[in-house]
Amino acid sequence: MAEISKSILDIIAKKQKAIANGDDILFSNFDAIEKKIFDAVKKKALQINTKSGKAIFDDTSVDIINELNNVIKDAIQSSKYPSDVKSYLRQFDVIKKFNYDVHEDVNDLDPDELDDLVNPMQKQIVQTTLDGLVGSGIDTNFTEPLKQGIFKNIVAGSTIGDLESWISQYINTNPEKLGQFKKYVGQISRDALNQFDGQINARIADEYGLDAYRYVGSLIEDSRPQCRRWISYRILLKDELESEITWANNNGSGMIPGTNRENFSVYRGGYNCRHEAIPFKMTKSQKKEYDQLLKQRNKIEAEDEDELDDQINEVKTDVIDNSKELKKQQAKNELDPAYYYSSASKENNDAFFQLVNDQDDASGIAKDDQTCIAMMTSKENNAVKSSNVTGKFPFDTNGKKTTRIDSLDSSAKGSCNIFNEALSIRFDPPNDKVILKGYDDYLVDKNGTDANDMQMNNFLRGKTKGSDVYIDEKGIEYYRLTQSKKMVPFSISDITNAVDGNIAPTITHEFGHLIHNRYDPRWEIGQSSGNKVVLQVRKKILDFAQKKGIILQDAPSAYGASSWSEFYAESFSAYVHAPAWFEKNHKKAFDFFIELNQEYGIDMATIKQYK
Amino acid sequence: MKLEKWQELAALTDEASANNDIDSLIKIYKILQSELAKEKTAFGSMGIEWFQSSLTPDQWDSILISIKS
Repeated sequence: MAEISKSILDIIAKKQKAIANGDDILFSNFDAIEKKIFDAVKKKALQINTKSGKAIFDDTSVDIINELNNVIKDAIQSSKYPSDVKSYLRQFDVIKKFNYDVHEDVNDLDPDELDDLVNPMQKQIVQTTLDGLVGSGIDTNFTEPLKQGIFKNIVAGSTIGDLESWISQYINTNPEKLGQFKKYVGQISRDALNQFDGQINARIADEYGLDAYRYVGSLIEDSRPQCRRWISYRILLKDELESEITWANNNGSGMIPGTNRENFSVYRGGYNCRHEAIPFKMTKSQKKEYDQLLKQRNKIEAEDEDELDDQINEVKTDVIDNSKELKKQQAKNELDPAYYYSSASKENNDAFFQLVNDQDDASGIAKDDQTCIAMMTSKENNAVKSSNVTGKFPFDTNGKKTTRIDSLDSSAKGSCNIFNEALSIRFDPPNDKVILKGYDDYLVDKNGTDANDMQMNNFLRGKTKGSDVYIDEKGIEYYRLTQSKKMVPFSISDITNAVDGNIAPTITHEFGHLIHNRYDPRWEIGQSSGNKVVLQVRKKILDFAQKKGIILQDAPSAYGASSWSEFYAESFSAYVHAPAWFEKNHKKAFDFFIELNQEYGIDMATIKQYK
Repeated sequence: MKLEKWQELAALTDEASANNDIDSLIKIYKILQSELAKEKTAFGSMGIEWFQSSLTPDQWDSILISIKS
């Protein structure tokens, strides 16, 4: 199908330039025009009577306001505006000429013949535009709102200065805002030339029964979707315009309400559309060619749609598969309630589960090892073997697992069996609670030999005994002087339990053992001197500590310095519940703990910290 | 792209985001980019804005890093 020739495209470009020039012509002297109008209005407004500096509403002010129509008319008439409007109106002839050139080329139409058709229409459009630019349109759209504004200012008790300022804002253009006259004139001038151009096309299409449009013009970054679509189509049949307009209304933007197949060449792609819809008559061969083009376009669209369907289906499969996998993983990594006994409240149990589920694979290990977990009161703990606690677990009461829920020592808050068969926590309400929080601000380290010098938190004051321990009346140690003359917490959990009864760090500590038992077992089955069981005391941590020059005394707490098992469990608890304190006060152990976990293959990002 | 396709992608995005399924989110993002490149629909740029607003800042960062690398 014949493409639009370059010469036609050149004419269209010139025509667009002529439309833009219309504005330039009209606005070339606008600063001076605005000033003239403002000076005239201001001069008149200053004649309004005042009292105590405020404009007053009286017969004089009413007369002055009513005289503004003539004042403005005179100001405009004595400015360059009338001659600029005259120059602007000449652009209609320029646009018409370019339009004729296009139709002469595209539709073989005689310009003289077109004149008979277009001139009456042009006369009418020019008259309407003229009315808008210099006639009654100015009164309605500029002068009357100005008069209303002045009236309101007077009634509101504005000073003459306020009134002058308001008038200036209304009339004069500034960098932030167009003056009202310029704004109004601009709205008329922009649309008039553009729509005149479109109306010529519509009139010609109607008169000569032209049944198709060539949609032409350049695309810019923010060209509208419908314009992109129609430019890519190149040709639009009049018969398909309704469906295309519907498409544009649903999928595009900026369409002018009321656009239909009759006025399409006037409104085209919407407000300020710079594209052309040039009507033409399709020949039989062009129609045939167009049908082929349409088939091709529909085929491409169908292929695009199929491709999109395939892509979406592929993603859908992935999302569903990944979702299933995640749920499976989550189920694996959640503590199994069947292996959990607790007489604590729901709130504490929920916190317990959340705490453990967020500690790397602690829940997964407990699940794999079928660890029986119990959070029991001291009373339950003492009666554990004979009570119904054991019956809570999915084992025979004589089974190996349940017997592992042993009574804790009177001073112990928790224990974890070295084969992960059982994990016990002492939980005595109402003091004890499971709170998910950090203790960076509560833990304190102090260099020195005298515990009495320590600036401890309020809860510890007055509980000091001796020179190397910090102990309460029940004999619970809170701080202890290490060999390196540093006063450190006895254990992380003793401090937090004293602060607010929180046993979360105790739970974390015991699950630290559980994790440690998996990655660096304390016992390994082997052969040695006829014994089946060989004691391997956490071989990996020992070797790694040696390699890194770490000793037990580097532990973050006194209890952590008692063995490599406790070193790990206390470090784990400190890492979770007081990470900033741990890093600041026990940097060596902190770095070692992270590197050690990396050696174990534990991703530190999977351990939730409370800060 | 038809509205129902957007709705389908919106539902997939929500699910993938909830599961932190970055690989699928990247695929959805690529589909949106490809549709935007065709420049045949107004949903294009809006679609990307909507997509971004459906994700957490970390997820969005992950996608941008993945696309750039």
